[in-house]
Amino acid sequence: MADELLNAMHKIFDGAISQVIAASAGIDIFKAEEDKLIKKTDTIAAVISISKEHQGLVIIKMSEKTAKKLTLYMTGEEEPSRDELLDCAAELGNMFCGVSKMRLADAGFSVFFEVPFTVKGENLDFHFKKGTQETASYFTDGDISISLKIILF
Amino acid sequence: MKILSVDDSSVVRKIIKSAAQVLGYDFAEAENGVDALSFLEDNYRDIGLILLDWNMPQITGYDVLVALKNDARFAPIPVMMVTTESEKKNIIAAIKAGAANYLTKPFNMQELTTKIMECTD
Repeated sequence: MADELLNAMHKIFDGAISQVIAASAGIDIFKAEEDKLIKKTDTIAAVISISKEHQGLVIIKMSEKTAKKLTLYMTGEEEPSRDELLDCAAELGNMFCGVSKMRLADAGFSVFFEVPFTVKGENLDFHFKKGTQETASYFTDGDISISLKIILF
Repeated sequence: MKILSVDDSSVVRKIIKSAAQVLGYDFAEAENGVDALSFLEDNYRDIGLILLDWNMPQITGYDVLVALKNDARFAPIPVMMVTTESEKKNIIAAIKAGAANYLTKPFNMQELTTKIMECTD
């Protein structure tokens, strides 16, 4: 069951991320093979807990440069504040989960997402104990880069 | 006429502000339902449309909607839900509670301005 859910989430989130970025920022992004495009410094992450029937985390990670560009495309703000960058990442995470939640329900999975919180720092990385199941995807348009990690406990 | 955006995301409020300006409306904002209800106490006569997020801290947008529709002063103000909640049962619940329109995130500027005009025409 966990394998099925993880596979469904992986596939559905991949589609949702492309759709949300296209709709909200007007950018077409594509899957990349690995996250070498994402700078390890100045990383912003939106973290969304999966709760109730299933438990886990969705982690959306991007460089500060990517967050600045997305905020610019979404709001027209040339010099967004630190809070606006964090808010942009959180809102994107919120929208990724919102779109995915509906599609997961259509696929027979009831998944509840909590309100996102954001983390900013250098060399930001997340590690989990053995036994968790996780999947990762990477997206880019050559100029912006986003990574997605889904972890089921 | 003034549009009130109630959303915990400053980015979303900024997008809605741009749409309001494009359409020639004044703009006000609140980052949660408590602040919105407090703001309306003194300003409800100026507000012609409320754009309301669903998932916010303190009070959900749905509960704010119910509170608005149960107050004779605020009830005539049209409310449009602007939210990631896209399940049919939530849309139906919001409409039954008195929402005039419903826009799911993500949206583009064209969709947003069209939905606002549907509420203000």
